Amino acid sequence: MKKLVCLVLAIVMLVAMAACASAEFKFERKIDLVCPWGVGGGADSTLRPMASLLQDILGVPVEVVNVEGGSGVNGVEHTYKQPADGYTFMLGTQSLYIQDMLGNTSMDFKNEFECVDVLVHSINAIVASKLSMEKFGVTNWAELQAYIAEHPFEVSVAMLTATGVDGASLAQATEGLMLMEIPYSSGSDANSALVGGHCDLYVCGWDDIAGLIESGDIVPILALCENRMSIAPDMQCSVENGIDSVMGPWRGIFAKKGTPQEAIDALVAAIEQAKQSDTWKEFTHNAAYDERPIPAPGEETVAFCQSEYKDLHDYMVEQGTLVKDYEDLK
Amino acid sequence: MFELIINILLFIFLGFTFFTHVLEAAVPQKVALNPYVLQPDVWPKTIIVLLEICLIINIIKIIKKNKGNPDFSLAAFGKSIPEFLKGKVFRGIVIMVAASLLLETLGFMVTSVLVLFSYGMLLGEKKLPRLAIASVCITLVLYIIFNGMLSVNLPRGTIGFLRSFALWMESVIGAVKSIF
Amino acid sequence: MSMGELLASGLAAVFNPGMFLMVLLAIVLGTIFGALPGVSATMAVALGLTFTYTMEPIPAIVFLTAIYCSSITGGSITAILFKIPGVPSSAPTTFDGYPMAQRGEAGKALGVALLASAIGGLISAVAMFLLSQPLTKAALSFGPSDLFAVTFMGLSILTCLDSDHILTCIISGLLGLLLACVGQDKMYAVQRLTFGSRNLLAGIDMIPVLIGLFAVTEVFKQTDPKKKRISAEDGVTGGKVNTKMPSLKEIWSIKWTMLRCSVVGTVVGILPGAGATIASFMCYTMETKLSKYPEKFGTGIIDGIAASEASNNAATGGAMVPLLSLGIPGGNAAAVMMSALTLKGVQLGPLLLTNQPTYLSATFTTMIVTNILMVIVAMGIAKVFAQILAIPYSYLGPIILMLALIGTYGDQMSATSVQIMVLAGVLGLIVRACHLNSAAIVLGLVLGSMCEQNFSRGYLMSKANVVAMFSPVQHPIAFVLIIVCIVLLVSPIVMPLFKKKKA
Repeated sequence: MKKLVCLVLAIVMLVAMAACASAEFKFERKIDLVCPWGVGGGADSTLRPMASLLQDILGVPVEVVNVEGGSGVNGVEHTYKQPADGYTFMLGTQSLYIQDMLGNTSMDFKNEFECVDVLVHSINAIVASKLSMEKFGVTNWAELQAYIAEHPFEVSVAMLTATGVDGASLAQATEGLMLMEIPYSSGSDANSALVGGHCDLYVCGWDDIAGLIESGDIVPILALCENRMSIAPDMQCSVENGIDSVMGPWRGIFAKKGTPQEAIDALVAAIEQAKQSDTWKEFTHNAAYDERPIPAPGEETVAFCQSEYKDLHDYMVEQGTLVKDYEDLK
Repeated sequence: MFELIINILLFIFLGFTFFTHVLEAAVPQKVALNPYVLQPDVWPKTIIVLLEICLIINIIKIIKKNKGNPDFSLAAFGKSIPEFLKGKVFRGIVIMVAASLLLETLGFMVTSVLVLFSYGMLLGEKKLPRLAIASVCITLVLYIIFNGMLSVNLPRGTIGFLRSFALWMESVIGAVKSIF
Repeated sequence: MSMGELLASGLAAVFNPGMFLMVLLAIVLGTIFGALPGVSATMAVALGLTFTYTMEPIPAIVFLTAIYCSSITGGSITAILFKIPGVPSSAPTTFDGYPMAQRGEAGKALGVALLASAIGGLISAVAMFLLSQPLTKAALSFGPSDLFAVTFMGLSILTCLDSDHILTCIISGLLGLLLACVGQDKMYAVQRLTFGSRNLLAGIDMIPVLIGLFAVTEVFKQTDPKKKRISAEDGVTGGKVNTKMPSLKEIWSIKWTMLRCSVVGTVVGILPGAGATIASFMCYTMETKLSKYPEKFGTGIIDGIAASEASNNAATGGAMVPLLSLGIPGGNAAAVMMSALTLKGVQLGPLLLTNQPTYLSATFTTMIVTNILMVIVAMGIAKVFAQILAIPYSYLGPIILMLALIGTYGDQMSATSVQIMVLAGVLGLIVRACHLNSAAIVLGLVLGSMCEQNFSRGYLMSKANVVAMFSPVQHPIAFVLIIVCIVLLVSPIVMPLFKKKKA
C-alpha cells in the first residue's frame, strides 16, 4: 500500500512538474526595466549589473530606462502608463511608499504595484566627520550620545531625505536627542561637507561612503541593524545598544498589477539565478549589500513590504504629512 | 502696449500666487517646529516680493517712455491680435503645442512625420511630394540614430497598431544590431 | 611616486599604437555624441561604458576619459549651428556663435570653440596634475555660506549681462529663480507653486526650458515672414557654407581671453557642485568688462565664444579633481564617470595615488592627449556638421524642432517636459517682445535651487543668524564674496550718478 501511495505521489509530482514546465513563460522581445532615478546613482548602479545578468539568462535584451524626477514619481507614472504585458518592470524602494502616502502619485501605488523580488537591502549607518570627532573629543556612539545630550542643537547631521526614509531612520535612532538636521539633495555634496568638517554626522546607506571610510576621512559610528557588520566589526550596531532602528534602504523589482503571473515568475526565477552568479556576489560584497538577509520572493517579501509601509506610515502620521491613508495601515 | 499688459498680468498673477499657492502641502512637524529652519515658503515669497517691486518700477518706466505715443493704446493692441492669430508664427505654435500633446498617444514616428511635413509647408516649401518623402526619411534616420543606436527610448504610442508597429521596428533594429 | 615617474607611467600607458587608436575612436564617438542634442556628456559616458565591459582597467579608463572630455566639447557644435545648447554652460556660446554661423562664418566659430575648449581642457588637466591635493583642500574649505556666496555671485552677474536693460535683466533672473522653486523643494520635499498639477511635482527642469528658450524660439522667429528670413530655397547662408577656419592672427588676438577664462574655469569647476555654468557666464561677462570693444559682444565675435568655451571646458576638467582625489564628483557627468571607474576597480579617493598611481596618471595623460588630438579630429567632424546649414530652411527648421523634441524627451522621458519646452519657446517670444533676457532666466533657473539650498543650510548652521553666516571671522570667504556681490549689484546703479556729477 505504502509503495502504491509513493508511486501515485511520484506520478502526480511528475505531471505537476511537466505542467509547470509547459506553462513556463518565454520572453520574446526586449524587456524594459524602469529606473525612477538618474544614471550613475545608487539605484541605477544596482539595476545595471542585474540587467546585464538577466540579459544573459533570458536571452533577450534587457534595457535600463532612466525616468528620473519628482523623487521617483515620474518613473512610477511612466511605468503605470505602459501596458502590463510582462515586458516592463520597475526598480523601486521604500521612498516610493512615502511619495504614495504624500498623495503624489496619480494612482494608489500600494494597490497598483507589487514588489516581486528584493535585489539588495543595505544598512543605514550613522557616520561622523573625522574632524568633528576630534573636536568633540569622542570616539564611540555612547560618548557621542552623551555629548549631543549636553549640547542640544550643537551637533549637525547631514542627510539626504530629511523628511523621508533617512529622517525616519534617524528619528528612531536618536529619540530624545536634539540634533541640527541639515538636509542635502545629493550624496556628493553631503560627502564634501563631512570631509570638509562643515557637518558633523551623516545618516546614509553604507554603499555611499565606503571609499571615504577606507581613507579615514569619515568614521563609522553606529550601524542601524540587528548585527555588527563583518566589513566593520568595530562599529557598534543599534540593536546591541537597545535602539529599535533597523530601517535601511532596499531596492526591489516592482510589477504593475495585472502583469501575467507567468511573466513575473519567469523574471523572478531569472533574478534568483542571477543572484547566485559570481558577478552579482562580488558586486554585493563590494557595496556591503551582503551584510543582512534579503526576504525571499513571495509571502516573505509581501510581509516585509507591508511592515515597511507601516513604519513609514506611522512616521508620517507623527510628522503630520500623511495625505493618503490605507485601511490596512491604520 | 503688449509689454505693459504682460507686466501688469504678471504683477497680478504673482500677487495671487503669493497668497494662495506658495505652499501646497503640509510642512513636516519637525521642520515647522524647529526655530532655526528657514521655512520652505520664505525663499519663494522673498523672490515674489522683489519681483513685484521691480515690476512696479518697470510698469512706471514703460508708461513714462510711451507718453504721447499714439500707437500706445488698447485699441491699437486690439487690432494687432487678429493679425497675430492669422500669422504664421501662431500656426507654428499651434503645430508644436499639438505635437507635444499628441506625442505619447501617436508615438514618436507619426508625430515626427506630421511635424516635419506641416512645419515644412508653413515655412514655404512648395514641392509637397518631395517634402512628404523627406519627412518620412528624416523620421526614419532620427529614429534609427536615437532609438536604435543611442538607446533614447522614444514614445511608442498608445494606439494599438502604432504601438505594434513601433515594437516591430524595435525588433528589426534589434535583429540588425545582433548581426554586428 | 614622484611627479616625473607618474608622468612617465602615464605616457607609457597611453603612448602605444593600440591605445592611441582607441583614444581616436573615443574622440570621434564622444564628439558625435556630444554634438547630438539629447545626448548629454552624462549619457555619452553611460553609452561608452557598454564598450568597456570586456576591457582591461587601463584601456577602459583611457577610453572613458577621452569620451568624457570630447563629448563636453562636442556640445558646442549644436550651440553654434542651431542655437541648441546641450548644457546650460554652453548657453553663452550661442550669444556669439549663432550670429557668426548666421553670417556664414560657422567654420570660424567652430574652430575657435574647439581650440578654446582644448586650451581650457589642457590647462585644467595640467592644474589637476600638479595641484590636485592643495586644490582639493581649498575646495573642501567651502562651507554652505561660502557656496551660497559663490552662486550668488553668479547671479549678481545678471546686472552686467545687458547694461542697457538692467531692470528687465533683474526681473528675468528673479523669474528664473522663482521657476526653480516649483515642485517638491529640495530640502524638505514640501510641494511649492505646483498649482495642484501633478506634472509640476518634479519641478521645472532646466533642459526643456533651455532648449525651448533658445532653439524653439529661434525657429518660431524665423517662421515670421515679415522678419528678414533666409529664403526657403537657399540654406541659412545662401546655399554655401564657409568652413574656413580662423587665421593664426585671429587666434593670437584672443590668447589672453583663453588663458584667463581657462584659469577661472578650473578654479570654479573644482568647487563642489558649483560647476561649469557659473564659470561660463562669469567669464563671458568678465571678458565683456575687460574688452576694448564691449559693444561687439553678442553680435558674433570670436572673443565671446572663446570665453565661454575655454571656461566651461576647464570647469568640467576641474570637476575631475575632487572626483579623483576624494571620490566626490563635481557634476552629473563626473558622477557617471565615478560609477564607471568604480566598476573597473578604480579606488577613487585619497588612496588612489598610493595604491593605483598608474590609473591616476593614465587619466591625467589621457586628458592631455585627448585635448590635443581633439582639435584635429573634432575640427573634421565640425566641418561635416557645418554642411548641415546648407540644407534649405524649410527642411532644417522642422529638423531643429524635432531634435529639440528628442533632446527634451530623452532627458526625462516625459511628455510633460516636451510641453514645458514648447511653452518655453512661446515664452521666448514674449521675452523678446518685453525686452526681458532669456539668458538671465536660464541663469536664475540653474542656480536657483543651489542658491536656496546653500543659504538654507548656512542659515541652519549659524542658528538662524544671517549676520553670522557672513561674518569675516567665521566665514572669511563668504564675507569677501558677498562684498564683491554687493559691489556688482550696486555699481550699475551708483556709477551713472558719479558720471553725472563729474559732467
